[in-house]
Amino acid sequence: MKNRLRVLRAEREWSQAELAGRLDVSRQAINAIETGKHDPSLPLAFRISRLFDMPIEDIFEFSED
Amino acid sequence: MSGTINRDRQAQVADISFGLMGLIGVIGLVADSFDTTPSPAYAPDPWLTGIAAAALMIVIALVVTRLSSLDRKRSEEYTFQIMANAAVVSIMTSLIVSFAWSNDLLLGRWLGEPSLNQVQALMLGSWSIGYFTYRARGTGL
Repeated sequence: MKNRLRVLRAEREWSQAELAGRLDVSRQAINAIETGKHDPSLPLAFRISRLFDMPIEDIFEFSED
Repeated sequence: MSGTINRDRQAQVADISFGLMGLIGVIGLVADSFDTTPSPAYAPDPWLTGIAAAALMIVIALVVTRLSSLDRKRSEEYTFQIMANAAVVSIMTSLIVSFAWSNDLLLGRWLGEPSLNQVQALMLGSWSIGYFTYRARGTGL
């Protein structure tokens, strides 16, 4: 699963720790999601979508890889 | 930002716990090899032993299942996921190594039968290795 989390975070000039705080996850979780090593759960994906005020499919792109 | 501190602290606690588990696993594996104390005798009634072991397994499994579902709700999902992935690594490693170890055709002829303590140390150690491997792959430690 690809995602635009790093770009969206950078646009808002948030650090990984700041984004983690807003989503109530650890900084390691944000790092792992941004690098594509971890796919967030559905509830967390919805929290991300709500935080950036964007549809989930505009943040995450499904791929078979 | 208080959430960040708590979640990061949870991740740090997991790191320390799994580091200690790995250490205990390695020390346990080596130390138990030097233990020559004979095992205590089994209970005289095999039915009693079998029924008690089965009952203990059912009760403990249900309690642990209940507790782990609470943990899943409260712990940070990424940390929980790598802990769960590492647990699968630990179970598979323990099964394969203990089979190879106890089988006379494989390692058993040189190493003898593994003790219960050594199997437990094997589980702890491999869980720790699995945890830190996933951790390193996910966040680069």
